[in-house]
Amino acid sequence: MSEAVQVPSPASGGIAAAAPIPRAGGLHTFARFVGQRPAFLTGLAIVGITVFLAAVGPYIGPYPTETALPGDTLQPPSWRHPFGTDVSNMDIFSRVIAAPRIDLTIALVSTFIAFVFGVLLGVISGFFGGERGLARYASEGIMRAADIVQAFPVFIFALALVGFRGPGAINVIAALAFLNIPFFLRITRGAVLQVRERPFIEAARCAGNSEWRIAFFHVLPNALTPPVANISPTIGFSILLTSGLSFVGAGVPVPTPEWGSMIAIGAPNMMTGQWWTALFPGIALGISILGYALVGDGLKEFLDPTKRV
Amino acid sequence: MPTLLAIDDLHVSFETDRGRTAILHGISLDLEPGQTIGVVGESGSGKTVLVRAVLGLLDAPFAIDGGRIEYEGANLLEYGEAELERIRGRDIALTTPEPRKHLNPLTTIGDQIAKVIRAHADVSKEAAMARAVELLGMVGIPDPELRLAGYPHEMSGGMCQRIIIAMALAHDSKILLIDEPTAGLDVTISRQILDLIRGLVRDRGAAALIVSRDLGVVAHYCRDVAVMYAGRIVEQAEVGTFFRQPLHPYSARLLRAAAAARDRAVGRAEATALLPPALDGCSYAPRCALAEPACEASIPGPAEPAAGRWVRCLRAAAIAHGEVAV
Amino acid sequence: MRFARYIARRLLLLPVQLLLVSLIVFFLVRQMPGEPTFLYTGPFATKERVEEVRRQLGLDQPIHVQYVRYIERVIRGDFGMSLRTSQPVMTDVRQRLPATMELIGYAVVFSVLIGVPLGVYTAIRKRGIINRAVFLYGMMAGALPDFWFALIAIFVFFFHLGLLPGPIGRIDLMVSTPETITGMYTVDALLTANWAAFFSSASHLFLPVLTLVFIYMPLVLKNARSAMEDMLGSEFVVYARAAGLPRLMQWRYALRNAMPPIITVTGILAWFLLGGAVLVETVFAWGGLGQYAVQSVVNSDYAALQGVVLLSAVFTMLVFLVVDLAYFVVDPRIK
Repeated sequence: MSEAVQVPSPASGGIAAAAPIPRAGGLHTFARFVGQRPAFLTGLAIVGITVFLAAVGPYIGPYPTETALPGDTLQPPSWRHPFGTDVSNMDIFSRVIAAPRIDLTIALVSTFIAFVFGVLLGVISGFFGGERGLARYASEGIMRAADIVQAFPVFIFALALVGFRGPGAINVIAALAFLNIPFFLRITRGAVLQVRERPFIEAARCAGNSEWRIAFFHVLPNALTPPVANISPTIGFSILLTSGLSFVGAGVPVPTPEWGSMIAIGAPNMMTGQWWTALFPGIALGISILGYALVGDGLKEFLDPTKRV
Repeated sequence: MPTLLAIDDLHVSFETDRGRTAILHGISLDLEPGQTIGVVGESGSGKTVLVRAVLGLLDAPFAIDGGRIEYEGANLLEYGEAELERIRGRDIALTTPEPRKHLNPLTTIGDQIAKVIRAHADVSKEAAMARAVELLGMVGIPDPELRLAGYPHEMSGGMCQRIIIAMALAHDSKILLIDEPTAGLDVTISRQILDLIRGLVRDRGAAALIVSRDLGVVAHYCRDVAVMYAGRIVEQAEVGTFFRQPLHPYSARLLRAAAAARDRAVGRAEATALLPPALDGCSYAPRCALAEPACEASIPGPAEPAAGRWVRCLRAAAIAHGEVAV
Repeated sequence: MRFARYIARRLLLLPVQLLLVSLIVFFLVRQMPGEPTFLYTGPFATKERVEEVRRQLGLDQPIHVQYVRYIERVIRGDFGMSLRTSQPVMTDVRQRLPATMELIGYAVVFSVLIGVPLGVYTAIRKRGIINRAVFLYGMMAGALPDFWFALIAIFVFFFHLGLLPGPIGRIDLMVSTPETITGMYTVDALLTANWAAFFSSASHLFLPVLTLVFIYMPLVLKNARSAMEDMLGSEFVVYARAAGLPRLMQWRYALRNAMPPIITVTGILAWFLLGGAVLVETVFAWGGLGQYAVQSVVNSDYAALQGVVLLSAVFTMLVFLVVDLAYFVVDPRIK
């Protein structure tokens, strides 16, 4: 009898007086959301600056980025050289603002590849997990492969991938893409496992859709939020790994302006007191990674209204 | 009779970043020694919030906006956490629905009960364990000694419910707040436990507030009933008169729904319009068949058509005189 | 007995995982561009010489035969010869492993000792200056490159303040290394009561450990905080409060239940640190496995790289094995 007494709808409950939660989406809603969150706004600004510098950074600096300047060895910061010069007589400021070109390109391309493969494999392994026959083996196989890839410490595996293929931007992209696939795979799979239990999937099945069609046209679009929200922090993480690889000489070759390799060039000078050589590229690197992390946090909150209370 | 617990005009709200939502709008309720009040109402009507407010368990984002909760001459709302700690479990005990979630999954049953006992009684661990065995026996758990070493995940839901009740009985509390006592228990056991609680209330001069969706439980075990709707008590009466003649349209609907369910005529029960409670005027007006324009204008104040009987409805008098059918 | 069965099952799984990992490493090596014999013969070798080396290396065999031989060698602990040090890779590894373990060990211990209490504290006291500062620190540290922080720390503590030794390895050149027992200098120095060696190695450990703890501790901190927050808000803590248990007891209930996630994140931390140690070891010329890995990449020392990668995976598996066992001890619900 209690069932009849109950009106099992949250809308009829006592807290229904709360303002309705606005639907995620819409430029206006987004602008208002950003406006209320200074951290998110800061993150977006940082991301905007890195994208801008990736486009024009190499051309707007006061000095060439890969050429030694005669006579200006290890100059401390000054009006002429705002960030000083390094041991090879190169202007650090010009190189710092030119670096996003390579760092961001590597991070963006590798994250994009990892996203595409990770999401596709995640849908397959999540949607067909627990089924019988071939699909189940495919699902299990994908997960075990992901386990094995993740059995290696990230940086060592990246080092090994680049080490065996040789340094260079393309190989760094390949290594980072490969490393990040299991990450997107797991996130997508988790979302798919929830979505596939929802009633509208059953409805789509009753309407005569094939399993593959359901997986990619009904489940996939509804499971995209978690992987999409993780694109930005993954870009930041990839920038960090790229700079680490370059720092030990396994990434982008010198003298291409890249933050990690600039820190490597400055490293010996830090012990002799020329602090500016490594300080500025590191700050640029840290701020960029922070920016992408903040955008990731903000997007996660925006895309998941339940977290907004 | 002196009152044991007097809740007076209690206001509670819930804060979100979109503003404040009132949850309890001025609840007043008195508990006398030996009295058992049943609180009924649909989910979201604020029953559990009311019970938790009494124990001072509401933290942000909940906020107490006003009112008094008087116990032994003091206002519990002014108590600090340390003072509340002394009252909780000793003077005022609580049982909860979903009992398994409310037990610590990583410690044994015996350890948890002993901790509750030792929180207010200066006894040895062994004595507390012996008392725990006694309590488990009281709530009808077979082989209580063996259960002490068990973990909550090894017990059934009904067993966990009885363990929670055993913990609530540990200190001869004067006030028992019993939230959904029968959920997950079979009929025999729930009857046994409610009999036990009724006995304690009668013999010790304690009082109980029983929150239930089961009108049968309220009819059998409570002296009075309070009907909650959207954060207000819309009707309060002695159980006998209430079941003979409910005065609030919402009470009437509850009773009809219960009767319909009993007669297995659920299908014919009124399909309640899923309308949210109104913000202005009588909150039940949008769902009420007897609503008039006046109902939407102002919140009806409590009327006392008979001694010990309260109702918040503009049309209560008409209903009482049989002028309109509810 | 359940515990013994659990361990046995878990240990049986290990060889299977290892086999799969070795397969990955095996194919990783096939990614090498160019002719693998090139490194042994030099660029001007005759065709006959190249063929001979191919035969010696077993490269003339079909791929599955090569894999089986590779596994046979690995099981015997034979990872080949390092081109750079001209020693067996296994010998190189054995010499360098204690240095890395000492570094990671201290980093894990201090990260947990600082991170968990700070996480618990910020979960309990949600407002206040400490909470705010910890929040900002957690956000910042996650974005900072460890190798850069190490350099800044060297500049400040070595060059500027002159308090700590520079990045010249694990012990002062003037101090003789303690007698080898575990290979970890601080431990060996303590065991042999060699105070000069102890203080010297401890002072050399300070900056690299500081770097790792500063950068990676937030991982523990954030997880401890969110686990503790979850548990403090959980029904059984609310009920413990309703039953009148004192606050300290409520916190103990919560912390006890937050232990499984904290144990997991400690495992993840160790896994992360092995990677992070590569860069920090390079900065401090630490002479551990991480630096060995970098040197083998830079010098195309493939046998050495292969060995380090495989062992890092073994390390990871052992760490997560320990995590699983600890879980089992902490949580009675796991059967």
